[in-house]
Amino acid sequence: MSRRVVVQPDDGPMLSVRGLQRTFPNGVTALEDATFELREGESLALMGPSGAGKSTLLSLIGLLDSATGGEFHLFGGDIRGMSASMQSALRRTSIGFVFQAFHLVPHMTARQNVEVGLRARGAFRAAARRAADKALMRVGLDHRRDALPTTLSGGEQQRVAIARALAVRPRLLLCDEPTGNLDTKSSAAILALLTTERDPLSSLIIVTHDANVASSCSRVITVTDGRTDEATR
Amino acid sequence: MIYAIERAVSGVRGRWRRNVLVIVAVALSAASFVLMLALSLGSSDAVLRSLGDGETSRVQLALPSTAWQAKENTLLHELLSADGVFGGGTLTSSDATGVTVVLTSAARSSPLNTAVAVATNEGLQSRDIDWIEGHDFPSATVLRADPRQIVLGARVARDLGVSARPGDNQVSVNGSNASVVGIISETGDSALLTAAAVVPPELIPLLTSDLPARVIDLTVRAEMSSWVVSQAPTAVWPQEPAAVSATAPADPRQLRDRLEAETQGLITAVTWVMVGVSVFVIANTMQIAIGERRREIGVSRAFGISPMSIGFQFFLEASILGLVGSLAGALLGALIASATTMILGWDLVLPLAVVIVPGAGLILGGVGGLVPAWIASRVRPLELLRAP
Repeated sequence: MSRRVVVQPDDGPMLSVRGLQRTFPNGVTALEDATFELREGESLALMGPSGAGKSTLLSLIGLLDSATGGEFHLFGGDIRGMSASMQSALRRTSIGFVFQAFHLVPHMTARQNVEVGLRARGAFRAAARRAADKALMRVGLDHRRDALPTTLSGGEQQRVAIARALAVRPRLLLCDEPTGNLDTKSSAAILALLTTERDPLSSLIIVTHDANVASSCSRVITVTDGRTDEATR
Repeated sequence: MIYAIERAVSGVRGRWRRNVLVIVAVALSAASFVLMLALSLGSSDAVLRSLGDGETSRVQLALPSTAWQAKENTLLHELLSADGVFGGGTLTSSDATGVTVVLTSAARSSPLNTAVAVATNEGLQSRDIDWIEGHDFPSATVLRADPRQIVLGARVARDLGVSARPGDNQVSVNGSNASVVGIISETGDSALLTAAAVVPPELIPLLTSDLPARVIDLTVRAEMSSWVVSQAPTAVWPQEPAAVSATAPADPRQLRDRLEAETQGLITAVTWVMVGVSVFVIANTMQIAIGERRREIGVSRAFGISPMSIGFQFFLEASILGLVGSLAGALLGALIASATTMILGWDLVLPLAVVIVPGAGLILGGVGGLVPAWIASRVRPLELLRAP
């Protein structure tokens, strides 16, 4: 079974970053100062020009990368000094990802791709299969569950990726330009899925260039030259 | 854990073409090991058989020339009653006698100089002499009355154009008539006598005044040979034991053990090389597999599969390759060894150590997968997802 991560809930924000920095070993600073908070159930759009540091910030929040400075609290716990295994456990139990490039495993069927997160959480094969089928049904792809990613359209691949993220019912869903590679019609469908199929209590952070996508979120933060600035609405 | 095992099995099955090549490489190494071991043991076993059955040994006693006057059963009576002495009799080879005679026959009037060996029926039986035709010497009573009865080696009989059949078995030995009672084959131990005229002890004083030493061949239990060598001189020639020389060849089992030790040293060296190659092949394949599956690893890590689980998955994959390859190799090696030994007429000898080959393959596969597994578990998920 999946290991439980002891992060005590409190009355504070689900996510809190203050002065968060990321400088790569080659000396390039991708993120200078990210400061904001996110509460349970909120949705947040990260906007800004290419190279501003949006994806880097999302990777840090998703514990896919480590910050080189600043404060970072997630689900009430301090991420600094947390071991790789603990971070893995936190991702496993509480975080879901939707990547711009989908990142579906090419030799796995749509169903098997959706099962990845469920199996990582300790679900047995049969239970994972049932949950994956249910998630694929929610995104309207139950008829393509045995298809390999290479046989799916871009929109279908992204729906599989969303099903994979939603299947684990994450407390925090992170989407990196989920509509970036899609046409207008597919983008609208994906956006609808993210807003309608997401657990109402879970929080959402979307990196996007699309103003329509941003407008569907409750808050918008602009990232410019590695610094965050929240727009008032 | 279960999911890691499933991923490992899926990884082996999913890339079966390349994995089959790895399995074949490991299997060939394992098969070579088993085959070398089986052939080494089979060959030393065959050598042992050719030297005897390993349970018996031969002791030769050289008695002084005056011993020709003694009856053989008198000489050997005490020795043959000893436990572990199976039999024996006079068998003095032509090399030992140094005596030659001139033979002629009706078919060949030109003289044929032939070396003379001296033997009794018991001596011939102790060497499992094969007969082409005829039989061994008549009884001692008949020989005392008429000692001119001889046995010829096959080559001598051929040169003289005689056989052991009445009417065609008369030869002249140094100008005196003699009867050929038997002709000895040219194969096996019999080949020792193929160029000799074998005469009974009763005849040798008539052929030479310079009598040679009387050599007696004894068949004894292998572990008794040393004891027989030490005790026989007194037993057969108590009046002057020091005049008897007793010798025994090296124990065939010691020879086999030495042969096996030397061969197994070579096998060990070759095995280490093959182990190194197998581990390298597995490690290299796993390294390539990890490179190709960076996205899969990255997604797995992003969805919370721990570094340890990723490492375990690839460690297990490598172990499965090692296990399957070595299992197939052990079976293949045993099969080839079985066929080879059957063709060569050897016994199939496989030590119990062969059953550990699959286990060793499992461990060596794991060793080959350790470094790639460790590398796979150390890579940050973001780096994996950024990879093309």
